[in-house]
Order: sequence, then structure tokens, then C-alpha cells
Amino acid sequence: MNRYSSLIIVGIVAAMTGGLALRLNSTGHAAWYISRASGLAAFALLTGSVIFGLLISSKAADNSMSRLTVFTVHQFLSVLSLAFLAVHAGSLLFDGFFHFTVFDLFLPFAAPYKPFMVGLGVISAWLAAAVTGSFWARKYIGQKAWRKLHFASFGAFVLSWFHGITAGTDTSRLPVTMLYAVSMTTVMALLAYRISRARAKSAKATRVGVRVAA
Amino acid sequence: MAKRDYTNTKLAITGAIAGITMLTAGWLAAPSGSSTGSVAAASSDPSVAGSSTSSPTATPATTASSTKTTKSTTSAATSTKKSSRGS
Repeated sequence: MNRYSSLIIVGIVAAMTGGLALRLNSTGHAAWYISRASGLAAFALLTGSVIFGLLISSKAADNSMSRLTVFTVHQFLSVLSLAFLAVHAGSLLFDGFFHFTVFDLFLPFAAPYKPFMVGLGVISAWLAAAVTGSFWARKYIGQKAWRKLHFASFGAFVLSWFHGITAGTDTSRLPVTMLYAVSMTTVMALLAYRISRARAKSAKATRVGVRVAA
Repeated sequence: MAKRDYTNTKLAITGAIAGITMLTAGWLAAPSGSSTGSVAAASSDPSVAGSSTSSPTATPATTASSTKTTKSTTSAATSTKKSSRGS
């Protein structure tokens, strides 16, 4: 993709954003709608990041994509998810209905709306931020710690899933229900594949070890 | 081997997702009954209630302010807020 096509896409999006912002502003709840939409986008991006992470660890995409490409997409989706998460939380500050403060956004269970369910989302955001930040801290914390920290991404995914279903106001809409169903199914299927592959590998290593010893 | 530059691709994907997000926000803001033409469903949505219904209590501003003046921290108030937002 060249620079011109990227600029055209950004231009179209800017025009769409401007038009829709004006339309949403006329409803008097622009911040609320933007928060809901960006929350769904952040969740979809987090799901994508987890899926690509599982594709790396399970080597399921090795035949179709280079590992560098899969890793780049994985890292990019993580960062983009955080950006949309910032919009999701930040836009709540401008909502005239629920009066969220900066304190409510960063501290779990302090929100004025469904404190527990929103709190799960806050914890999920912290976990996602820690895992994403670890991409750049890898050389300082070491490979082992980085791998362990990466397991927190499953926690972030599951908590954000619960947060979306229970605190989100759009769960009953069919496309949103489908998003939650497909995301969880895909991640669980890939995770099962990853675990079965790891078990098969360790069983093979044990057999080889026994053979060598014999 | 030189590392491939993905900057433009990333920029395009970011733009596309931002666009989809804004379209989603527009879809969420649209009256839920608009596809079937249901006046009842449309009037329950705060985005259209103010302009299409005769009941002043249906407008989001009025509902919000009245909710604020009551117990805004109670669960009852929360449910009032939720329903008046049209979810």
C-alpha cells in the first residue's frame, strides 16, 4: 500500500468522522455513543491480538504467513486496542449523564455505573496495558518473565468479555452478541489447539528421552 | 535483509477501524425501530424522543436532570438512567 492510498483512506475516514460527529452531537449523547462504539472496537482488536498471539505460539499460521508478519500484526493490534480503549474510557469523561472522573477510569470498582462490572473492565485495561508495554520491556525483564506476563493477556481478554457482556448496553443486539460469541469460541478453539500441540510435543520429547536412555 | 516498512498499512488499518467505529456509533445512535418504522420503538430512544414525541419526560435532557436531582447513587436511579438512555 502506498502513501497516497493511505492518505485517501485517512481523508475519507476524517470526512466520515466529522459528519458522524455532527450527527451524533445532534443527539446530545455523542460521548456516550462514541464510548460504546470504541469499546466494541477495542474488544474486537484485543480479540484479534490474542488470536494472532495464539497463532504465533501454536505455529498454526506458519504455512500461510511469515512469523515476522504475524508478530507485527499481533503487536500492532495490541497497541491499536489500547488506543481505542483510551477513547472508550476517555469519552466517558465528556458524558453529561454519568459523571465519570479520571479517578473512576483508573481505579477499579469506583465507577458511578455498575461499579463491579466496570471494575472488571478497568482491571482488564490494566492487564492489557501491562502486556502491551512488555513488548518494549522484553530486553529488560527477560524472555521468561515476558512469557509469564504474556499469560495475563488471557485474563485481559476474559475480563473484557465479561465486562462487555455485563456492563455493555448493546449485548442484546445481534451483531454484538455474534461478536462476543465468535470471539470467545475462536480464542478457546485456538487455545485448545495450542495446549494439545504443547502436550503432544512434550509427550514426544519424553518418548525420545526414554529411547535415548534405553 | 532490510526490514519491511508497514507504516502506511498500519495507518490505513487505523483509519479503517476508526471509520468502522464511527459508523458503529452512528448505528447505535440510530433509532432501534427505524428499520420497521415502529414509532413506539423510535420514541423510546433518546436520540429521537425529543423531536418526535409530545411527552416532555421523554427527552433525554429532562430525564437526566430529573434523575440527577433525585438519588443519583441508588440502583433505582441507575436503572432510570439506563432506561432513559435507550441503551
